[in-house]
Amino acid sequence: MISFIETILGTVLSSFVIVIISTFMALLVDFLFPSFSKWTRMILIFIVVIVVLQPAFEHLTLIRDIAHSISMMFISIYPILTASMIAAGGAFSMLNFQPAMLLFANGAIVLTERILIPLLTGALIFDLVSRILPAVPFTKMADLIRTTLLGAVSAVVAAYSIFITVGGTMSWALTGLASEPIKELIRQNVPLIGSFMTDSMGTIGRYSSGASVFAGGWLISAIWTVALIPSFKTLLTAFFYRWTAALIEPFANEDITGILDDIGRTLFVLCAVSFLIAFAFIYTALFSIILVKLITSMK
Amino acid sequence: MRLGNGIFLIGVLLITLLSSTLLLLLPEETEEDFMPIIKLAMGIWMIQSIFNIFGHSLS
Repeated sequence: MISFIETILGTVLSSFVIVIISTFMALLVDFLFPSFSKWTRMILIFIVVIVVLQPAFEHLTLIRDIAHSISMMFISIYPILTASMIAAGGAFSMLNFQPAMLLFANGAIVLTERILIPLLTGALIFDLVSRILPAVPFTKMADLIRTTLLGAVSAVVAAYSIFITVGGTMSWALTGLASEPIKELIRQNVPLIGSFMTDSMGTIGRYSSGASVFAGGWLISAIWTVALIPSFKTLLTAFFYRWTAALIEPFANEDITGILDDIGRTLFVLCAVSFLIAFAFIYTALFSIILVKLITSMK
Repeated sequence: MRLGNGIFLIGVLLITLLSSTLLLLLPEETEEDFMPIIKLAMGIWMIQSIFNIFGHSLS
């Protein structure tokens, strides 16, 4: 776990150190040659864009690749799963596994790969453009794209929870008083997507607690960890952007902090999108595990 | 709809980069004259892209 955090720190922090140093250098140049301030601003923006955009685009391609490979996995595993569901007969009906749910999860992944991630790239570029040339702003468009994406993702997760609880057989074991403070903490401290995160965690948890009778708690926590690592990584990087923006705000140009803040906000939305993928992965993995368990125990 | 395979975004980015470079090179007093031309270019590009994405085309 420590080395995992270290690798994120290594890739992200080095580029942010470059940003901080170059901002300071620009400050010095501005002080020595005030007539060059227009050029300094532009060159500084270019340096920041080249250095800082790389981790953000890395995460975008990472999430897109994961979405692509998971949708491939769905396509290959779907016939086997449905066939064995028919073979198992009534054994699945008590577990509230609907085939429609599987299709729905796959649909969410395709939606992510085809529409959500290109739109997020668009939002990122619109933010950059409106910072480089403030006379031709695209801020409304970028904000609109972000809020629309967040709304769409929340709607899909709400539909998930309706799908799962419609049979009424599952209930989340952790809904007691113990988890409420943690939920409140996340909701307060993660900007933009805090309440969304607690809600979707509740949905996944409600689902996997029903399955833990069959699969065991440690196995489920292993699946959770594997599925949630990309989301966690994206969340941490987004926080790094905001922290750097907060750190250099007193002495940097307003454009630079604005760029960092905007990229951070876009990455928060990307984190919300990656929850969709995580959920689909958890669903498929648990489904396959329970299927194998049923087959091996009923022979 | 993939935003015209990114052509729209690349066009917006290119117009911005070119015009900001030009604004740097031009003297201060011509900046006000140049700004409407940039806006005009951006407007033409956006309308053309909207027609491309949502309209019919024979090609």
